[in-house]
Amino acid sequence: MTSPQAYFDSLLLGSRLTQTVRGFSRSELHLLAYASCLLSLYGGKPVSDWEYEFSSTPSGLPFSKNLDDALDYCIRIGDITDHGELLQITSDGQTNLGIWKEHTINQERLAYLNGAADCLLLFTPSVIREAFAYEPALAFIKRHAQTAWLFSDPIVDRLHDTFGEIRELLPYQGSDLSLPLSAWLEYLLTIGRTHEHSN
Amino acid sequence: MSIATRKIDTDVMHRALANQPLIKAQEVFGEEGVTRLKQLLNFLRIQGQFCRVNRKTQLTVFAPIGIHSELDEKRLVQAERILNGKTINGVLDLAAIEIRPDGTAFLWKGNVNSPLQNQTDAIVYSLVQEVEEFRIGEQCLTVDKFLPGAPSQFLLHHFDDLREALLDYGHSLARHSTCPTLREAWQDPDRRFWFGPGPEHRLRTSLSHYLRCCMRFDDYWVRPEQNIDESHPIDIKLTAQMSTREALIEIKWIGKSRSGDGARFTANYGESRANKGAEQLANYLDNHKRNSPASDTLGYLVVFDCRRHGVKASTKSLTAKQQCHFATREITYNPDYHSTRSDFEKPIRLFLEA
Repeated sequence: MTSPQAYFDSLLLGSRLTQTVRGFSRSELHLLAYASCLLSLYGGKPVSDWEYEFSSTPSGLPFSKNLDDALDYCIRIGDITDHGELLQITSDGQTNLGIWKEHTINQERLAYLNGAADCLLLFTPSVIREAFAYEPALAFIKRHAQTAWLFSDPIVDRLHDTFGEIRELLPYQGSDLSLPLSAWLEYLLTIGRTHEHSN
Repeated sequence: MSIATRKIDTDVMHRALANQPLIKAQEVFGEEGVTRLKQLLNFLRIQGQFCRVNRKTQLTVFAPIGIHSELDEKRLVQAERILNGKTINGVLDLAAIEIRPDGTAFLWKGNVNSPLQNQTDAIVYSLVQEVEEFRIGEQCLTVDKFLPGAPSQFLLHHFDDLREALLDYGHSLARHSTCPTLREAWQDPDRRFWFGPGPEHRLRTSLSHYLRCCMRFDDYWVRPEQNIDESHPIDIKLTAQMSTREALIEIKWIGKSRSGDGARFTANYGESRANKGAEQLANYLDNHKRNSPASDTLGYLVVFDCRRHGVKASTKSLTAKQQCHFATREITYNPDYHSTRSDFEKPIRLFLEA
């Protein structure tokens, strides 16, 4: 059975990606959903509240089976369609998104999903992917070509530490989560590229 | 699994915070500043689908904060509402554009600068000579180039088709060697008669940077500078991780290269070099097919052509005829794999002008 949360996330992120950068690949949808889940953690929610989990592929990209199934479902019912090399939300998908946005269970997710999607205004999908590749947990998994859960206890503890430090340094405590995420992505890119150049 | 605990580097994070336009907009103008900046950035992203920018583009996009009644009057006669894909198309040369609070955009006729040039209650984005800046109130932020080789980090044109992207690279960056990395491949970037020694890595880097900007693959593998592993002869490999789509790009160059001190020619390649590249690519595609039978792989041969007619070690200048002799002379491929194989795209020759 398709996860209702994963279905909603596919529509919302699919809509934002279609509007901002003409469409999306499967891996871009997984990446932004993972970023949204991180923002819910940043916002103080337990990771179980996200309702579906992520693992990392050996290539270091976040992947969720629930999200992948939801995307297949969206394609099957015509909410999302293949458009050349990219996927795009359809007008039926937009209509369904409008309906699902009104559901109480999805109201809280909007801030996290939009926070992640707004980073597309500053960074391209490929740059966001690169930034996350420098995130220590994903970098470790990629280095060892492993498949691993991305929200295991040690990883979540370390993320809480990182987010606590960002919160202390960020001169903004408002509700727009694109601000901390964009700062963190810029930080990861700077650190990661500097490290690569020095090797 | 053991992941090293690493604390945030506070100096780097402070710099990241100081460089972030959204955070600056929040600091200076509060929530309204963030909303207006997002409208402006959204406009740039959407226009990237319809138009392109280059090193000559001079663009100002401004979002006034608060009420500016003087603009309302002037707008009626001096500005035109922008319709996506209609008002601005193709290469954008000079423009001043206003983003209104309702998100609509207006093109100010005959203007290059914001009509609010000397006022600080606005967010102003500018692109001049590939340098991008945000002026947020009185503060000015220069945008870091996360995408080297791209004139703009925001006005990006994404291609669906790799061949189209390669041709655009040839036209917009390679032809006049406007990409900084490509310029380093020449022995003298201002007298482009021949390459310096070993230009291959710079050609690969220049092209791969461009493809990262404008294509939507998930992984970009670029052959390292020192070719330590002969089992990976291909120059660039593009992969879509969650599908079977892949592209292999073999790069060759033809023309002459000269030693660093300019004392002697180190290479002189003609059409046979391009034919060798075609053969290598065909062999690699065959091997790849054997190893990954399920992959949907296309091969592309890209030939950088810096040939000049009658150029000698003593040449100090070139006539127009010498410069252009090879400009339109296509390479004959024998065998022509692209006619007989469905996985081999028609080779692309990029002529680099002197």
